[in-house]
Amino acid sequence: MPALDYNGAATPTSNPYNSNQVCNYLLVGQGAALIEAEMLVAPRYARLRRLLLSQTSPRQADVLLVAGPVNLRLRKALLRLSRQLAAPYQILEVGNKVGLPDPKQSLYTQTESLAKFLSGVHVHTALQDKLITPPQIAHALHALPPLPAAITTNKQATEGPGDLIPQRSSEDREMATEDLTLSLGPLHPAIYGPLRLILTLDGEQVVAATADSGYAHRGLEKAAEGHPPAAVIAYGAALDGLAPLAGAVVVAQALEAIMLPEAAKLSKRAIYLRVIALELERIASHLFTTARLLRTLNLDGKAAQVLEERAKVVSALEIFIQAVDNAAVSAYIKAGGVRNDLTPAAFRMLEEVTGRLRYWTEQEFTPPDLFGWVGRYAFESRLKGLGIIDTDTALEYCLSGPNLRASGIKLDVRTVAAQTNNYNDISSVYQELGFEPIVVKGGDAFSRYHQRIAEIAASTSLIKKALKRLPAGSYQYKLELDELKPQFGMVPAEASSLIESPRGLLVAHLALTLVPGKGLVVERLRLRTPSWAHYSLLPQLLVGERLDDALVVINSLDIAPDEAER
Amino acid sequence: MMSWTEVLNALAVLGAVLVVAYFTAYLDLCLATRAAGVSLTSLPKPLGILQPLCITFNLLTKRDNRLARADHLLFRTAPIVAFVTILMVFGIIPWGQALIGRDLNVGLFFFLAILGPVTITLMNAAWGQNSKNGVLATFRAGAILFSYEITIGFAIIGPVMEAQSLSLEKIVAAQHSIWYIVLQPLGFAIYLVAALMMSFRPPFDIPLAGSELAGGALAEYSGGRFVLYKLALNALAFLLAAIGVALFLGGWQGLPLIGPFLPDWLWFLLKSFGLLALMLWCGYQLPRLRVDQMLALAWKILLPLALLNIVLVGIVALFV
Repeated sequence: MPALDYNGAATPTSNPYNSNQVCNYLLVGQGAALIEAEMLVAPRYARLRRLLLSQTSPRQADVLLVAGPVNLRLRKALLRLSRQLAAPYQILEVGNKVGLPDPKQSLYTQTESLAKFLSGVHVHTALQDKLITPPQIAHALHALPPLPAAITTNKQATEGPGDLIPQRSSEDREMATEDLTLSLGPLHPAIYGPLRLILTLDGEQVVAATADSGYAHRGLEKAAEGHPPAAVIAYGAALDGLAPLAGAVVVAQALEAIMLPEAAKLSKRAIYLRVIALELERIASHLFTTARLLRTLNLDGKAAQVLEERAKVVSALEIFIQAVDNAAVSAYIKAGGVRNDLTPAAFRMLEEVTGRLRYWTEQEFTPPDLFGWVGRYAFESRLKGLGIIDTDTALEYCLSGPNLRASGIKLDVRTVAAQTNNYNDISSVYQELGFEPIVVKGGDAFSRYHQRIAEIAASTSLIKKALKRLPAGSYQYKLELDELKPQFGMVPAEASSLIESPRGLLVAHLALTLVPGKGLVVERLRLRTPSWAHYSLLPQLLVGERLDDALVVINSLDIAPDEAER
Repeated sequence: MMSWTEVLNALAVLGAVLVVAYFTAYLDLCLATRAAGVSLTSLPKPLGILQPLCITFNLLTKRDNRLARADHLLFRTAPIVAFVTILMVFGIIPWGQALIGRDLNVGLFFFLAILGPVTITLMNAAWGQNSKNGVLATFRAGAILFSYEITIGFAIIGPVMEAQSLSLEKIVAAQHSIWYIVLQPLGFAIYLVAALMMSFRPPFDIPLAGSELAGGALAEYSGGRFVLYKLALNALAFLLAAIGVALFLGGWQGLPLIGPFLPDWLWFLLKSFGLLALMLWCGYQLPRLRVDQMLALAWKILLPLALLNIVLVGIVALFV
């Protein structure tokens, strides 16, 4: 097997911007959502987008692009999918070690290449432990060797479609209509990330649904055990590819609750800076969810415009936290504060972005201006009354975040004052900034869409206020981990913390213990993720919907499979 | 006996199909890019005109899959039947005053009768692949078949009444003094929507729904057959725009005030691509409709309006 070793350092021989070689790729895997979002961004990669064409069917793809870590269940699905590709084709794995702070420790995720399981197929691996940007993907795709010649003599039948119609005897073929069992996912073009639902359809109507989870499970909590406390923040950050900072902050808060001496307090400035970073991330995540809903409705053009805004927010965030590359996003959060202070350049960038966003949410994002009245009518008629979650169901299934508030319940952890510790009370900062939870009533897909738009506007004003009132002081409290050791006995010290991530209530429970010979290590990490609750509600919510509406419902709930399954 | 001119005629039609299908693909690419907010200046040089060709060659290198347990007769013949069907209708397009493959005196009836099977080939393609998504695509295609066939049938009755002929050449010639879009704006609007439905373009690309049905009716095609199907669908979109131009926009005739300072075939092409661009552009602005929404639109709104249009055209023809 020719292995392509490209880890970002080597300059590829061909510049994709000058190439006219068309490449049809089929993008799957945990990292697919993020890459797709980046690839769709209009102005930056216009030329690349036209040469690298995303396909929805494996029959028309040259390259199966597997992004992100692959666990054992997902591998089986991938192997099956790869047998449906039409020759000649290649497989390119990218970032299959991303999101694993220590790949050797992974219990559930394979670290070896797919090549091991596929004979006679060209499998290449690139950018294994980096988060991937579209130019890098483009370079990697164009650095692939030419496709092997098609095997024309082989007349043997290839693998059929994923789901074959069961063969029936002639007596069965009378007038009776039969239910159809359809497997939606784990690799489906309208579902972002490896999420699987088994639907029973009567015609196009869903009569029963089962969630089949486990395709995105990485065993993050287990993998964190036994590591020194300083490393545990990286495991929190690996939780959610779309919101690494929220995961990092919630774990850092738990760590600080244990480690910080009673007298010490996190400086206000550090918390303000965290709030700004978190709100920027929330905006980026909500914009992404909106774009993905628009794409489900086949509004790719509008989605690209939304993603363009997201790209601006993300670049502002990157400047704010001084990220060298994408991988460094989570490194901004340190136990005891943040890594770097606000720079004047970042301040200007943030002012510009918040100004744009406020204008944009007010002017363009109100439905009339976004679509025109015919479009607005069509758009609303596709979303209204879909996947209604009433207040009782929302509470019963422990929903949180925008999905809960779209059902009319005014609950936002950002305003819940009783944090488990009072050292770094992030909610007090939200109170100082005068934050009020936003509630949209209705509980249907349209309300959830509106909820996110309203929250983007709210987060924008929060950032503006936070920049205005940013207190002076240190942005980091120096934690001397070694000095603190004597505080601990053999009994683990535990703490919990909670935070409002873009998807909802994120709770971390952390226990540290002193192991002779190894020092202070993580005894246990437990993460309560909001998407898991939303995922559990999904089967019930889909019953009675039509297949095309079911996909809208799924995407309106903003479920991140990697976050749900940890 | 076939004469040489007839053979040449047929070859010319085939060439025309290939050329317009290519430019339709290019137009589609440009509009899709433009809908995403990208300016056309960022296209590959020169203007990305070779882009569809690159894509076609790329797709042609793929092996033509022989599916396990597929209905091979239906599955493998569908793209060929679709292409040949559309090719036949291209013969009646009035490109210019003396530039018409074959002027049938039942031209429009031929157009309607022959284009019906295109949807049937789509159903064959979806059913033949023997997959669950394929079954859903089959029923979607079947469900929408009648809705647009009947609507488009009633929409084209207007020009036929006005011109007193089913021949496209006569209908175009009858618009010498005034285009029918002026007399029948309602009929034109109905025709546009129904043509968009009939060409399986967004927002009515229900049986082809790439994201919902994981590729839909064309999901299992690869290589040459996929290219042929795409070609047929692009040619179909152009065909519907061209018939619309002949029916409502004066066909090959120049603009009323400016006069015919361009060759007639060029006028026809310009108008057709203009109308096609309008159709495709509208489609990209709207979310994909559900099957029931599309049926409601066709049966409850477009069909009554088309009937009303016939009454109005009758009144106009009687008293004006």
